[in-house]
Amino acid sequence: MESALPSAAERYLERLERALWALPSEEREAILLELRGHLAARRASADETIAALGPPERLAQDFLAAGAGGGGPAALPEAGTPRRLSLHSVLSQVLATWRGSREGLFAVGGVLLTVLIASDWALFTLALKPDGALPAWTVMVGRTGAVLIALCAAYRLLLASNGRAWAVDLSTVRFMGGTLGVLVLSAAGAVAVTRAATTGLDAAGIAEGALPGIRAAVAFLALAAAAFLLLRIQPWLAALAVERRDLGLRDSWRGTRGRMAAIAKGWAVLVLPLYLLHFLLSYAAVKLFPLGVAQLAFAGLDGIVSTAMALAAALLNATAFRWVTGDPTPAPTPFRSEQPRADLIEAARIRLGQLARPPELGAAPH
Amino acid sequence: MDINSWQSQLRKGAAELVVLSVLKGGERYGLDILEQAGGSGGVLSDGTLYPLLTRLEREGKLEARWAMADDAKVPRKYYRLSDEGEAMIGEMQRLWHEFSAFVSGAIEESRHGKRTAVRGRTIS
Repeated sequence: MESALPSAAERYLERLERALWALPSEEREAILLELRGHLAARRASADETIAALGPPERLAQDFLAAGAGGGGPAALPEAGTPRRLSLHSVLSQVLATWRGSREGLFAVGGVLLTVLIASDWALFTLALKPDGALPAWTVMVGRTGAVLIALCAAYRLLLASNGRAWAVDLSTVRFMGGTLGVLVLSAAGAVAVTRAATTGLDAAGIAEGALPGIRAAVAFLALAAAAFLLLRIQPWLAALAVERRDLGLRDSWRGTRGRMAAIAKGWAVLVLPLYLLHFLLSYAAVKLFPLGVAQLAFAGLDGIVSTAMALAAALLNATAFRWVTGDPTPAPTPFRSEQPRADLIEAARIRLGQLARPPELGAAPH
Repeated sequence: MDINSWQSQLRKGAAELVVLSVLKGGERYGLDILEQAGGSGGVLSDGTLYPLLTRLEREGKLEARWAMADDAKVPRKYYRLSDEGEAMIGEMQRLWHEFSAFVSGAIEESRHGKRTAVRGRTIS
């Protein structure tokens, strides 16, 4: 069955299909089928009909507001996300971001896993046996470079669709330079604050026994503040990776201002536990166990944890990028039909057995 | 006040009544409803009709079935009033007549400077 819709109408239905991703597939296809019939009947004036239907994203929101889907699915993530988001809402939007390009992220995960396990093992071994042939800084340089290239690819898979995720070009260099610069500045700032606090504590004549604890608390607070500031400029770093010149550092700073509560919720749930686990595993590998097979096992475990942490951070940052830019959250990949449209209609006809009342197709009344 | 916003709210409230009134005449599909309501002063549009039908079906005021018409290449979804919708439409139309008469009266009276006569009147 071929409806032979004008290409503009087909594009409209494709956008509507993506925007209705939150609905169960049967219900989404029923809506699409009904509108396909509407557009087919008005084929001669397709442009006017499309204009009268309004933007597909708005129409999808109206369907959801009307209770399509039984009111069960999450509300459609929209451009200019509200400032206050529940944790459930944050996680559902991060999940949607992941679903939008998860096949590509498998490759990123594979690269990260390989690089992190190998470098972890080398670093653990070097920490326990410093006279090894390979200097630690070379391992760190290789590890950092590979991780940054993989993260750059992750942002491109999540936020751009030009098929050049793994290209190492000028924007890759900008992303790497920006990320390293920001990390170095943050670390330097945290160290400077801690030193200043230590000097102040010494001058104030604080008892020596209390100094290490206070110093550690100051260092922790300084690092937490640096991490908070880093989160605010992550959308800018993602913009460097995907060459989005319209999102500068200042835009990122301003755009995240009201959304930090939502971003921090996602970070606390998705990233922080993995970071703490990474810290514990590294500590155990270097401080608790003698050099041997244990380091290889810890390197494997930490590689998995660190890969998950990097991907979770990239997903959260990509979601924050969308909140700041107003870019729509993509439709989950499984819901994107690669079939010809006629096949979609045939499949929908079969499913009409579930939708129709009575179950079989009835005769038209006129 | 934004007149477009006010007009939009006005249309939104009336659209449900228009759809139910059209379906009082029998079972129809989306485009058919739209064409029947074509002279309804822009109360219904392509973009507002289908979400409204979804809501009315969900609320139990409409029932729907799919059918393949001879002249169509795509199955159509036909809507009809449910028992609840049937019961509601008569009451809604009565209330609308009272409401519109009240509003029209108020406007007419205010035009002629008889605002005091409007006070105290209510619609049931």
